[in-house]
Amino acid sequence: MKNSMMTPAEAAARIDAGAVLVIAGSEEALSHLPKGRWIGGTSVYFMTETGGRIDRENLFVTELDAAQEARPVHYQGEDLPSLTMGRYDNGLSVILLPAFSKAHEEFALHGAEYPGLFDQPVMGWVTGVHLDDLGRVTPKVFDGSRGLVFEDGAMVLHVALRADRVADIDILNLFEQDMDGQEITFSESGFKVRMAHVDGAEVDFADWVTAQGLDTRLPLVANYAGALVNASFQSVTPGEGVAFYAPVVAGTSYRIARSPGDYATIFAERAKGDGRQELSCNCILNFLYGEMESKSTGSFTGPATFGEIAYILLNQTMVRLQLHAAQAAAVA
Amino acid sequence: MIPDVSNPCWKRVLMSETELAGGILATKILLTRLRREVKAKPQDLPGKIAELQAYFQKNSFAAKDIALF
Repeated sequence: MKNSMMTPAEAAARIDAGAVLVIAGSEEALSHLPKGRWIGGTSVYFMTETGGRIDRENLFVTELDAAQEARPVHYQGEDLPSLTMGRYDNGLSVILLPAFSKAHEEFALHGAEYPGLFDQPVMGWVTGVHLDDLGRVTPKVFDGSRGLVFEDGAMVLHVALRADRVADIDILNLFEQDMDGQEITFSESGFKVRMAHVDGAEVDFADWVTAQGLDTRLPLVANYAGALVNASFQSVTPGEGVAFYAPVVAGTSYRIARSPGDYATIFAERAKGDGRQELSCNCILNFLYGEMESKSTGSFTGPATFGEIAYILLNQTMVRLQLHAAQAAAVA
Repeated sequence: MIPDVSNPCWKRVLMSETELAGGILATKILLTRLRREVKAKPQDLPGKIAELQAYFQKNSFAAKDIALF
């Protein structure tokens, strides 16, 4: 894989050359691209090799040069659970979902139940807008093969890999559960909750968060058999409830995260490997709370998104997709 | 060789909360969902065992995770 910031003209040249591309950029920049084998999603926040930056003019382009074939498909409504259909025998799927759309909510709540979801890597992100434009402009996804733009539905690029390549997804979450804190559970799944159980006692969650004086820049963290999965706070409104950027799941045990310290410093310590060879994205909340503008995440570059997808919707997490030699993967 | 659904390893892993250190992300997320479903409806355990076993039968890339059960 190759990652780079490009002008729309440079990206258009790669499209015209037949490259298979995943592109992030402003709606304006994406709308100038020609038809071809690409999908795109709106974002103006990026982690680049020279540091985090906000850019409305240029595009972040990942070229999947190991792709033998690629098939962009837009899934919407009742077709969404079928998004694993139509993929190739040996391959992967990149998925882009517009933030705040019906598809975003549906995938977040029910994606883990979609048939065959875990049989091949499904990696991607939630598209966004400049924070100044929230409420005025909707996030979008682009079907480059048909020259169409959508504000709802999942834009999926099914990719066939060469026989000697396999894909693998992993995550880097710098947040850990604070085991000295209380256990938090919910009776219902959703992006917004009113009540919670804290160490078994039912509480009005907004009141409880407020009374505790919690730093809501720190997410709730659940332990998924060793994978730490965050639900990040969006808002806390006493009398109304608590909203999250990813749904909390009923019956799951959460704890408030322990502060990881300076994000850029800890990231540099824990991010292993060569990100230049990977498709990755990181969370806009890490970009904002970690004050990453002009700070570097090394070779791990990509859009800073409104949600990350590694099979399921994640928050405040870097998602990375790597390609390996098939033989090496078989004996790993 | 993937163990048959009658093998006790399936029930053991679905009824526990142990971490799958070294397991792949797909297995961890699927296992967590199935554990949650079994906890909510214990009578569904046979169906969840079948679903987990089918995942490993279908996906050879995940087979090494069974050794972690």
